[in-house]
Amino acid sequence: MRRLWKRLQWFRHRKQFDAELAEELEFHRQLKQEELQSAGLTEPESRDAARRRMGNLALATEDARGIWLWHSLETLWQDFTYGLRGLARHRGFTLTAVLTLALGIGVNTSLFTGFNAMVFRPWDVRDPGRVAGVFTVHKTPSGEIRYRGMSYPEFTILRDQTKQMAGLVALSQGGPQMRTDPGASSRLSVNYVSGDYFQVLGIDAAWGRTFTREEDQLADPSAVLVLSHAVWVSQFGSDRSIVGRTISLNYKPFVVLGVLPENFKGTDMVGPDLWTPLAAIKILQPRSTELSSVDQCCMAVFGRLAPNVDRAQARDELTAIQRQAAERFNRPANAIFLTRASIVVTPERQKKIIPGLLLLSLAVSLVLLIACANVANLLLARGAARRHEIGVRLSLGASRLRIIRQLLTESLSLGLLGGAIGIGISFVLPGFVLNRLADEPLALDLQPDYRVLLYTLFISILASVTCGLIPAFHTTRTDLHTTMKGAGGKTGRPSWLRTSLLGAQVALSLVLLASTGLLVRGLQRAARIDPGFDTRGVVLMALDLGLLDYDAARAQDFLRRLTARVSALPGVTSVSTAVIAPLGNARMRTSVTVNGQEALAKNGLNNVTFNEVSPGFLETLRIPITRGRSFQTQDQGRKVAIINQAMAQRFWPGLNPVGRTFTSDLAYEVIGVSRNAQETQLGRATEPYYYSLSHGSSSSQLVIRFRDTQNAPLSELTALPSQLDRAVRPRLRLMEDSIQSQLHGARMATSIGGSLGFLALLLACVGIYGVTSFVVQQRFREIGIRMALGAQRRDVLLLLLRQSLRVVVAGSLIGMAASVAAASALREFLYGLSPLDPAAHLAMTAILLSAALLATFLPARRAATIQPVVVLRQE
Amino acid sequence: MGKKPAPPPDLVPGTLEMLILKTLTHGPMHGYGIAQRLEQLSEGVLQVGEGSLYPALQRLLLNEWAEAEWAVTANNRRARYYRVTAAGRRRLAQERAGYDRMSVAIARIMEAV
Repeated sequence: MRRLWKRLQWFRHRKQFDAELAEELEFHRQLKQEELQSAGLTEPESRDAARRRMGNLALATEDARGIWLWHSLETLWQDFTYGLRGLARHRGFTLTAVLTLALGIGVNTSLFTGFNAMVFRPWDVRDPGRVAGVFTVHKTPSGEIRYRGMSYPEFTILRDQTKQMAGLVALSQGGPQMRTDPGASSRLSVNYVSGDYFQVLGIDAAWGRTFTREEDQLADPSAVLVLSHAVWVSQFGSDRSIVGRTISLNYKPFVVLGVLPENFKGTDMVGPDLWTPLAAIKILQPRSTELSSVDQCCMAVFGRLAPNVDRAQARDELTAIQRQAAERFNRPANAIFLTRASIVVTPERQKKIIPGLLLLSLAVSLVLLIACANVANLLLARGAARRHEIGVRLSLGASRLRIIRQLLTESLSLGLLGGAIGIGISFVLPGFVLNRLADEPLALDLQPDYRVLLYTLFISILASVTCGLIPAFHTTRTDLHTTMKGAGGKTGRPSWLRTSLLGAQVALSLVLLASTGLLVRGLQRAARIDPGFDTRGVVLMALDLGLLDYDAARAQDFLRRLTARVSALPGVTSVSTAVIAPLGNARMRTSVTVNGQEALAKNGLNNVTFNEVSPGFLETLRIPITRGRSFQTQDQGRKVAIINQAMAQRFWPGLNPVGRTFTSDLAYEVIGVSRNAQETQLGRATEPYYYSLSHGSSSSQLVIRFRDTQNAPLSELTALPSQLDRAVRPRLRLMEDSIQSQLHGARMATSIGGSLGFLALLLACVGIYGVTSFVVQQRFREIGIRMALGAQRRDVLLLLLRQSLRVVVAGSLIGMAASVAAASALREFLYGLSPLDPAAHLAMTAILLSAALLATFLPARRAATIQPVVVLRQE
Repeated sequence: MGKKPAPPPDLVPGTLEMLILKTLTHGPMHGYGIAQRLEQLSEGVLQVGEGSLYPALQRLLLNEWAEAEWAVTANNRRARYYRVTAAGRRRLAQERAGYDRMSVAIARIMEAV
């Protein structure tokens, strides 16, 4: 190790070393000369004699240097520069190979950049290595492990008692709140955080200041907030004088204390627009029980480890404190789990993103493999053209290993150049894709960091070796005799190696293409999914009454009056309310007990989804009743429910559930059974569901059916709520749009898959084109002779096409088998389409075959134009 | 494939380093002085060529058995003086022991025949 260090030192100072060595030898020579002079020689004689006696000075210098040099390091450098010179000479080859590798490496690096930002990269806070997320570990009845936050009372006990944490803070996702400044109404998402949140994380305001613990007193909440940089730019015009001014949130005045730096986007996947102290929940949502109830589970907690404390110590201490706290609140104790300070930290959340990432990484690995096969083929072709050069070097005594190493260095240069461009791709691509993938701007830092650089270096080297090793061995395995005679490498037929590389490329491309085909077909199918209700003409109106401090009674009254007014609009056929809007991606869950079905609870099968609606809801959505009856106005106030067929099947299989009862929070009597509908999310398996009657809820939305939405008086509709309460700002959503946004994810998956598939097809075609051109070049003489002997252009064309297509067809067959095997991994994204869907597989095979045909035809046509005279003259 | 600096044909590899180290135990010396000394002490038998002396000195430096420093000679000329280090002394002791065993063994064989 020390020697390595000294060698590196030497390498750094090698200029000085050379100078000193020269001086030393010159000194030696002078003394020698003086010695000879004193023995009686003249000056010129002695100078010559001294030189002679010294022997070969250059060799002595080289040998002295050689002690320090790493022989291999030096030759590596030689190979590298030699390789670069060679690559610079063959620009066309180099450009193709580097770009091919760059695309392959770029998509891999881009995927890793996204993964890195979610899992590895810490928040942009001071010393993130000492920050830990604090989770409680829960076990579900079915034995699964869940990671949760904790209730606020529990958190305060931990915060006050811990010695191993230098600071412990809590965060609650406030969701969107209403900005109610005159002329500037908008929804701003809020994070409620402990007063010392910013101090513990070590974040200073870019302008103004952050709040402190004094401003987070439950007894006396301060109406203060801190803005995110993004919202400061988008909504406050980057106006620095906003600091110290007052803005209105839910009609409550809040003082803007400061603006956060641009790089801090919060501590979750989606960054909030503003932060207020936790105590401000009491101002913004006076009805919230979040700060007092021990039943609330989910405040996110994290903190900074005290100096010289490791995570295990902190975890043990927090677990002990949590146990006491649980005892005091008479709740089950949970172990504490500490995580790193990055965005996706718990095993649970990681599990959620991993299947998608695995599929994607499989796809991008395939692209890289295709790219490698492509470059390997290019290298083989180039190797064949270089047979003569290599033959000469081998016969001059270069060892085969030396030449293999040199060829590998050359492919390494290609790989590293490709990697450099790949890094460039990863600057742009992940942000581009993720911003389209997510509805909200993500708080992910996608700048490549050292991990991304290391990863890119790693796969660049891997790719270089993958594409360079086989050609290097193959190229150096030459028969010197034939090579030197000049006939080497012109054997005509492409080697089995090149053929199988091409076949593999075709097969891999087909796997990606077929997956794309399946996704497209799945999307087509999704667009035709029957959600179980009639979406045409339905408009949803969200009112956010909860933000305006409405209680149930006031909300009920407001909704009743609003319903009456909306019904009077022209074109409206039906109006009702629901707490959960259909296809809004939200749902309410509860557990249900039914006499005689207690066993269901054991497997968690007694969990059902429910909604609280007004009596006309099922009629508005046109969900048919299959048994019993629907709600009637006189049911209002009674504990009755309508269940769907799935719930009937689960709890009363084979029986008529009408008239029976089930218990969730209260006992409900079943009055009817409705047809199954996909209300939560399109394409989701039908779940047991019940509807009960709402007694007024501040989160209710209006569900309005028009005769048709084209002529619906939407502006009049929007104006209605503010006639009743000028504070209410409704948001309208067309049901048809909801379906479109439901398909957003699938559409994104399809376009990502499609791009990768297209990339694969392109690379495969470049490969086929390249190999066919090469074959044409190699068989130039043969083709010329054939034509001189009377072969027609058609024959030549067929000869080349047949040769190439044999490989393509074989590759396609393997690819078809592989894609059938791979397709089942996509099942989740196919909306019920069979992974074996013949249309998708066959269509994509056809596309691949025709592209391959074209890629073969172009160079083959050139061969057919060979003039026999030209060839014969060359001979 | 690497051309390792050839050891002097008349010396067992590594012996030259041992001799240089031994020479240096009398005090710091420059390359010319070492060559002179070796020639004198061996009464002209060992003529150390510069082609092997300087590589050997670099090897000593690399292994930290010797260290080098530029200084001014009695004749007011700049020369690089080599000095043996503690590690060099240890190394010399080892080599010495090995050499003693070897020479005794060789002598026995030569006398026995």
